[in-house]
Amino acid sequence: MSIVADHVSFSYRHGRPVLQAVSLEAHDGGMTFILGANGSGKTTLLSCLAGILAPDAGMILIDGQPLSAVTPRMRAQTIGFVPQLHTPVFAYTVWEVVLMGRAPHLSLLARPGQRDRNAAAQAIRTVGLWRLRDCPYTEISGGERRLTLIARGLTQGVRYLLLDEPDAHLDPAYQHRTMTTLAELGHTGDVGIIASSHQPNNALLYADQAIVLGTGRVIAHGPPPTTVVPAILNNAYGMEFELIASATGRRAVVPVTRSSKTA
Amino acid sequence: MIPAKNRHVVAGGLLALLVVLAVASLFIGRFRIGFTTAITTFFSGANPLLTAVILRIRLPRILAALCIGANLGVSGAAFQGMFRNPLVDSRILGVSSGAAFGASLALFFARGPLGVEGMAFLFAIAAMGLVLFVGERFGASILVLVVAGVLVSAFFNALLGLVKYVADPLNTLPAITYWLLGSLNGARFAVLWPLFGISAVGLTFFLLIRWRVNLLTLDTAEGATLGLAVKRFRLVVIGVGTLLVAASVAVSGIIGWVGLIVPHAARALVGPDHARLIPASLVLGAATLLVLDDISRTALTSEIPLGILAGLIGVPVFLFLFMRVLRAHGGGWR
Repeated sequence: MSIVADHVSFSYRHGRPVLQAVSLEAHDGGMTFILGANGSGKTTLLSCLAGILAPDAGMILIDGQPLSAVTPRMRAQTIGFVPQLHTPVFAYTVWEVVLMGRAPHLSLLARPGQRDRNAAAQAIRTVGLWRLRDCPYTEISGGERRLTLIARGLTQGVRYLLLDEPDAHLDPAYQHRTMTTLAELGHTGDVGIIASSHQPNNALLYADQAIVLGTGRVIAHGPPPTTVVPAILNNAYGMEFELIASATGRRAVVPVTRSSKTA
Repeated sequence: MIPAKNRHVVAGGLLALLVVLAVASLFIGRFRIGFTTAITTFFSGANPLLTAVILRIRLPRILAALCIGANLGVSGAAFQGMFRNPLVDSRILGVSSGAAFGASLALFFARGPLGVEGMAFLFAIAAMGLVLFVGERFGASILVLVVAGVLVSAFFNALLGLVKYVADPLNTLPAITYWLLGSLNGARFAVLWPLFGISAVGLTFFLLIRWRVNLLTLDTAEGATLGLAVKRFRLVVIGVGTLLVAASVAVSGIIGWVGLIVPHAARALVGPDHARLIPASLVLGAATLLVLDDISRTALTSEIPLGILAGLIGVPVFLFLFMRVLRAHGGGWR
């Protein structure tokens, strides 16, 4: 069971190509990070994988089947998408937002029943927001909103959850909480997590696999210790990184600064 | 907003209130006979004239008010959600302007009430068709639909202006003006069956899909990742919603703000979840128009046009009642 991008290319109208023959594979289980500079094509790649955008060339395969041949409803039962932080126009409660994740399991005229409410309740408990379930989604913190959208994705009962920068705009505590929640889902829940991020260190800390994009091309693909390294990041971000390691062997990448050069 | 545990009680209460209001409305009017006497006389059948007035004049008019109020409330709620805009009402897509032009044309050529209703409906549907055609062709984004609606509206307003300009200022022009102010004066069973039929089908449709309307309030891409065929669903909701409005204005003429304010009031009561908002808008819309029409036909010796009454009474009432709610917690909006 896997989601595969096979030589996917994409360009917006009248634009330069955003993705050029991008190939990757992610399994249902585990966490894949997509790293890359602003404009390197991370969000576009996620949108193609989610079926929001159709590639100009190449194809997305979901469990061996072309994504373009899957109905929107079937797609939404298999792949969940958590957009970047957003605020809806209406003050739906956390519960109401999460329950919307049941839409792909309900016929056009049906409303959520007991089974759907159970799924929503379980997802809200998984992300630890049960206490806030009746709060307006518009009045909770950014971190809590992120967890709400993750819960909505889980309520969809998907095998793959795609997230556009789930660690953006969050304080370190919420980043850690969000990332450990996702990592646990990846390891225990048979859900494949694919997340774009601007935090290479989060890839080192939580991910099983990292894909580094440089202007629409995959420049590295593999376990974080081999891909999130200065040589590759320097190329991806156009700046110099250095790898630091603690006594216990934990690693992090940091930018090279004047003080580190003179040291 | 009403707490969750009280919702069933409140829903039942509102519905009961609506039925009581509707039945009571049968026994008030300009026929010179007291309310309680009217009831006893009607049930004893002692006054055939009163019985005829109640069954042939008041009953159809009350049913029409209920249908039209419900239609405007429900379509207003669905459109406000779909366009994510608190200023939207059932007129956003140019249907009312189409209807106004159609009616003015029929009045200009001195057609009877059925002709006026038919032409109003026909041109309302033409306006809707234009908006749907443009939407279908250019991707049905919210922006495309709103701009198409405004343009179609402007076009039919220009045509209406043309008819008014050439109309006989002594007979035809006042008739057109009066029609534009809205009234249920002409509501007889003979002209109401299309309204009843369309309302039954359209309102049932909205009651069935009401929860799914929530998904239309999300971003297009987000709705798609939840398995919704966004464009198709949007066009269907617009189609059925405008059909409800078209059937309504064809009978009543233009009644402005009901489709705008009723959803706001309903949202303040039950919150933004369309599974509750749509039934609430239905009941509240029906009750609002019923009360307004009762006032319209009883307050003065001659009838007060509904559009005027709606603005004069309804707007201040809702201003004072709901501005407080809007200030306190946004009335369901962000």
